Amino acid sequence: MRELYPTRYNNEDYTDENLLYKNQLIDTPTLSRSLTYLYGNDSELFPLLSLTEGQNGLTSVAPKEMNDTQYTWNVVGRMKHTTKVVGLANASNVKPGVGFSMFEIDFEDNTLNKYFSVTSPDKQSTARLQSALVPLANGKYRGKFKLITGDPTAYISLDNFLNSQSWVMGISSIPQSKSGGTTANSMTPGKWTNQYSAYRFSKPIAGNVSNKAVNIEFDLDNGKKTNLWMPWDMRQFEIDRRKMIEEDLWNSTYNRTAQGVISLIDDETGEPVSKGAGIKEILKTTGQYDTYGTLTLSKLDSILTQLFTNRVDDKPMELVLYTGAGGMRQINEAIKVDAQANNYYYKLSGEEIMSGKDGYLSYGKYFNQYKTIDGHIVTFKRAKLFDQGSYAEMDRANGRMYKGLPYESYNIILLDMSMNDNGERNIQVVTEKGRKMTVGIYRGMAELPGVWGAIPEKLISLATKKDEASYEVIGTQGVNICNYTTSYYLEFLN
Amino acid sequence: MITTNNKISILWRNINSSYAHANRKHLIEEFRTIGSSNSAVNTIISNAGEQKAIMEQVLGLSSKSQDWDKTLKSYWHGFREEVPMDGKVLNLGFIYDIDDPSRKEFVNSINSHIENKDDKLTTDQDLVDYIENRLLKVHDTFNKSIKSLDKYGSNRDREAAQTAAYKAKWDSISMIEGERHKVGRPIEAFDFILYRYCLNYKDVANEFALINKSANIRLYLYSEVEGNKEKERIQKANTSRYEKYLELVKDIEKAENVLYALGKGSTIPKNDVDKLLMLDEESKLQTELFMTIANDPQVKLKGEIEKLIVFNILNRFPGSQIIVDGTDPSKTIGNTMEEAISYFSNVSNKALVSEYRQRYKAIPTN
Repeated sequence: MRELYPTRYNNEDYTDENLLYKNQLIDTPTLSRSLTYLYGNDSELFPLLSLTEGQNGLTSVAPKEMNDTQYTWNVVGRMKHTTKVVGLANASNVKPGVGFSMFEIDFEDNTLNKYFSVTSPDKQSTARLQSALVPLANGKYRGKFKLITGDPTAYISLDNFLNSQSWVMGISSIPQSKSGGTTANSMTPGKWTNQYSAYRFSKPIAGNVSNKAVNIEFDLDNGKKTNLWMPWDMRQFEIDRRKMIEEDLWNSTYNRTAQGVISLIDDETGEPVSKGAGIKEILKTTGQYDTYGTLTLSKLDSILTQLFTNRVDDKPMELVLYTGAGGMRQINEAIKVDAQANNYYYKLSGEEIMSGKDGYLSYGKYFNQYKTIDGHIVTFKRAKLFDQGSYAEMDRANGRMYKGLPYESYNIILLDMSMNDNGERNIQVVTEKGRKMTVGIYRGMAELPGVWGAIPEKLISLATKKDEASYEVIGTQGVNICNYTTSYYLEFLN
Repeated sequence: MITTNNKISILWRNINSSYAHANRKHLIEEFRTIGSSNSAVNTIISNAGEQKAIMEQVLGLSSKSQDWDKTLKSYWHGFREEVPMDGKVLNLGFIYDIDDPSRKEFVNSINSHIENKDDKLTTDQDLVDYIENRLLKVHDTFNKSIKSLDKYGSNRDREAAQTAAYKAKWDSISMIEGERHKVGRPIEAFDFILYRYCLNYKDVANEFALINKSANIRLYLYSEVEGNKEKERIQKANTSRYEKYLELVKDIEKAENVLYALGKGSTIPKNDVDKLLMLDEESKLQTELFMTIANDPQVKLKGEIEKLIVFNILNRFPGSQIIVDGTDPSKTIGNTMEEAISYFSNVSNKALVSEYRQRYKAIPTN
């Protein structure tokens, strides 16, 4: 098959007739008047944006101050009972606790409460804190302890006192009578912060391009076909715009400095340009991150176990695994390798090799769900963004390919899409109140295409005398993971 | 039998994420995970002898088992090792015993390739030296490479040479460490193999100096022994730097030549005070290079040649060290800075060199 003319990318400012002529869309004979999508039709590209469409995953926030793009949410962590040891106060004491003797230990902080017990890292010894910890000049804390034992020869082995090992606090132990009260630790909620960013897209046209037809038929969303250029051009514009918005929610990097200043300033207006942390940055900076080259079920299972056990309440967790075609293949392979190692050959082969039509056989069935030992079900969703997004496009251009697919296609992101008590999703797309997305038309003498919709009354007067017009989109967005401990980023590393 | 003690830590790299900083009060990053990657796994598995010698103990499986290959691959591809915030200390101590039957075959094989009878491995100390002496040579070669970085004219070339020196150093260390199992037994098999794996895993820098090699680096290896040596070296280098700087303050022309030889070219300020401030800053940023250049007896000529390049009287071909005449590129002054210095020092080129100097003097000062 001969390529009559290549797909061309046009980066000129205006769409006009010249563009159509230049790209040979006006008139050479074609074999078929219908357009062949070389890389398929664009759809299923927007997993996060779909949260804004009836999924309770959209939150609008009003800015507190002019130009303040930050938003916060309250979080509460898990009670901490461990404390790191600095060492034995008396370094010459080689048998701490022997003969029921008192000994002193220095700790990094004052987590331990008086009369409570503390267990050594090797779990072989438990001691009681006899009185409240005393602060030291170097910022550490010292406590007096006695071993809880009936054996006069027992002592705590010295390797438990190596710097930075964690000891854990247990129950308090008091005499049967005359005891005083103890103290208690508490934990206050904290505030997390992120910020939204603003975007703008413009589609300028000039001349009479609105009424120009081309020699190719384009599909319309309503199932009809058209030869007009602008519906097709606008469709590309819209898909590209949405793709960039979606990708920004995943890949964006927070750009406020440690002092809270945004140093990215727009040259033209002198105004700061804010960017928030996207899904990848949030997960990577919180340690919810690992790498893989060839996926094994044990690795996937250990990550899932970590995520499910991080959620201590009984709410059902909606964990969705997003990945591209590469990740889907790796997961399928990991499960099959594990199944084969467990000698499930017959069951697998019965499922995989089936009778087809007319005496032929069909081979191939693939996993898209996994149930953990705790009964949690994880569904794998293929997000075409990982295969067809701009990062995948760049991987292809740079030859970062593995088994025919871009590296990006193998990245796996597990997102906890559960609802909280208020019916809000754990993952939310955040926009500035009143500025989710605004569309406007800058009208000149150029005829407006029908796809731009009916012109509002206020726009009847012209904004420019020139033979041009422009379709303008402005909006704000950020992403928020309320509880990041139940989501995970598993990056492919070849 | 000789037992060596060596500890190395895997520490967290300070990641300068402003998002993490904004949420530092409530950020609970408990662990950073050493994961898997195809290249790291393939490299570690490719040393079959080492895997057999070390991993039998880690996996609790005989390498003769029919499941060996499958289990080994599955282990490494599924690898997840969590490193807490305070880091993880690895015990890299080894036991060297010339009578160890499990190492006999390896030692005999090594001896069969050593011709000189006196060099053959016959004692416990020979086994230690077999590894350590080669590691010392690697460090020597590396130090020489770093010291000779000043021969590169541009910062870009110097950077490339420095990267190549680090790569050669760690490739060699990795190769030598990959043979350590032949002469000794690790005290902690898992710790040693984790260290070996980290040398190939891209998210762990092999030393602190390499933590900025990639934005993906989350962890780095830190040896307290090496760290202390490094601190001592820095302290000595700083003392020498102060002495040399104070010497240059008294000789502004030499100070300017050093700046030119450092490649600061067109950014050198006109004011002497600013020049000295720049020199101070550069001496801190590139201490070793600063010292080598400042101590170089040819610094005057080197600085002059760099100055002529800045003013286009001479020209250096981009991406190379070749220096040519600024107006006639076919006239080569030198393929390296050393050759250019020889050219300038050669009496037979006196007329041309003098012409270059005149052309420089003729450039208006403002």
